[in-house]
Amino acid sequence: MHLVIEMLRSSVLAATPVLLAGLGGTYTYYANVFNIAMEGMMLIGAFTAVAGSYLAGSWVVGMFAGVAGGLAAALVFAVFAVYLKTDEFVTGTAINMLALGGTTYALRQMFRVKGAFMSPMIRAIPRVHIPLVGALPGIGPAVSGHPFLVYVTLALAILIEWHIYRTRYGLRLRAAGEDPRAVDSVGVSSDRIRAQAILISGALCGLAGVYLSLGYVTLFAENMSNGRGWIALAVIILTRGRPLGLLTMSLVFGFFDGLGLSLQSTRIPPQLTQMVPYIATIAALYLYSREKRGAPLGKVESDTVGKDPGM
Amino acid sequence: MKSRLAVMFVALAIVAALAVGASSAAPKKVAYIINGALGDLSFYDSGRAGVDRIEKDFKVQTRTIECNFDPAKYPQALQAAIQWNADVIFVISYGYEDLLAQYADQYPAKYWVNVDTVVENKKKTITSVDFVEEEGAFMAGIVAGLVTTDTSIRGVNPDKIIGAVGGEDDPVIRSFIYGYEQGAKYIDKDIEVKTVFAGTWDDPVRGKQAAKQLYSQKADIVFQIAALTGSGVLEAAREEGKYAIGVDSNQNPLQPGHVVTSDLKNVGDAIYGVFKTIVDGTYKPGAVLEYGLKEGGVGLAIDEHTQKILPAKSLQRVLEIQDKVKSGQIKVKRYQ
Repeated sequence: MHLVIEMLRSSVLAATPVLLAGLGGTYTYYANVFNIAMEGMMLIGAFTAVAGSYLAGSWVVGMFAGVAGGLAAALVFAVFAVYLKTDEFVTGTAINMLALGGTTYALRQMFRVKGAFMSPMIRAIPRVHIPLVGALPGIGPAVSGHPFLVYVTLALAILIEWHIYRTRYGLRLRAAGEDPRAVDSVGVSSDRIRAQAILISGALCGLAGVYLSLGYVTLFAENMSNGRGWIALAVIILTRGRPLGLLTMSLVFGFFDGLGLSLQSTRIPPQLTQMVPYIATIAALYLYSREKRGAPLGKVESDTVGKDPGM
Repeated sequence: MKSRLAVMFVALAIVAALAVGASSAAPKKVAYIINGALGDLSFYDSGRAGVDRIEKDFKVQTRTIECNFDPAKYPQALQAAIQWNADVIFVISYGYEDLLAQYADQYPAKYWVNVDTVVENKKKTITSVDFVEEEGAFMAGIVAGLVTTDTSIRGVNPDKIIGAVGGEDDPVIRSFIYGYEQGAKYIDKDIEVKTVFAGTWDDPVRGKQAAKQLYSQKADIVFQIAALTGSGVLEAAREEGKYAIGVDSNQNPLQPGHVVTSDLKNVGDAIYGVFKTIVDGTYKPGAVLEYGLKEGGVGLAIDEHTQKILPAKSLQRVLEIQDKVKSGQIKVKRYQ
């Protein structure tokens, strides 16, 4: 019984960084920027968050430092990919490598440690106990008592769904991805919108980093993003960038991630259980694409807005 | 001019002779090659501490070559040690044992010391330092058993369940768990051991997730055998008000009041010890040196953090059992 609650808890916790980065990536997805730098932005955010929190002794500073770290990486990406027209794939790869090497180097130089940096001086972001719901048996412990960023993320998912589909900015963003010349022809700079999308994704990936290093755990470890940015990218492509779809898929992924661990208490070998989240992803991809093929044409049209116009 | 040349030739010949018959000269350069990277606050760092002591006490040059778990760097690392002209090469060779054997055959004049596994080459020049993980883990199991059966310790529930979080499923980690279980069962046959493999050595987030699952299944104490991933285990212990056991180096102070003890692997002491035999001439190439509890190769870190958690009576019992293992009265079975 307790294990079930713990698994629900941990699926929410494991889903949050993927969802946050994924929400950031939604913007670049619709702006038709192939953003593979989310992993690196997240890692940089995780590092600057810990550094800020440790040096200032405040989680607020840590959080802003984390967002700033993600933004800084995104700025580099935007300058190269949008204004200098370099290849997005190459630029993104460079940022990921820079993030890994750079944070590792900075960790060693600033804190004189290698591997992991732990200290009671690192202030974690506060946890929220929901008054009434938290008292409910079963559901209460699963949904209450998480770092507050978890709830912010859920709210953001809904907010971003609205922002992309219901606002003028969202329309321009999607148009800039679909046909940049059309946007330019009406006097709106598509480059500017693309750069903005990259910066928003950087800020949200930075926030995902903050959540990792000041929320889920209170430490920084080399390469602690550990592929979560890539999973976010996969989830975006899987759900075609629908924020609410992202929310669902991240939770599913988070659940299977935890399930993989707990299945080990059965007689299934751990090598197999470790594949569970990835098998689930492939299965979801299959189901999703099958559903797509069977869908009526009108529906397909509205859902393919963000697709690469060149393809 | 001619005589000068002759002197030079003689000198060269002597140098060459020395290089061939390696044992005849005191080593000047010591290389420490690791498959992973420094900074794990445990295994590799412990080895590095030993190398640092060698540098200080024997006035030799030392150099650490890290491979960062990148197989492409394994041959480069060995080559770098050769080119640097190292006399003694300590290697932690998971994943490139065969390569090490080839290099050792090619350069038989060097002292090759393989740490933590047993590697044999054709010319039998590699000396292996083999830690008896089961004995250290047995003692960790003793401590875990004493904690979970003692409800007077804060936060301990009546269920006799303990846990372990491994990095990946490999023979070394299996040996740890095998010893850990024996230790726990020695205290109480009814103790149940739950094990989770995180599947990664460097993801504390996943380590924490794994440990939390174990605590939610009523485990009172979790043994982390997962390098960096394990730092998340220690944090989970603090958050849940439960206990953990560290590994490889003394991790008791990392989460004060929640890490009862650490199962040490004194890689540094072993490296230092082997180097000493090279200097004093008792070194035997091709030997397999077993470092167990008695030899000080493995053992528990017992300090003020341990005393704060474990009642004096239990601590006494730990020390008694430790003596019995050292004297051979208790035999810990080996995994392989």
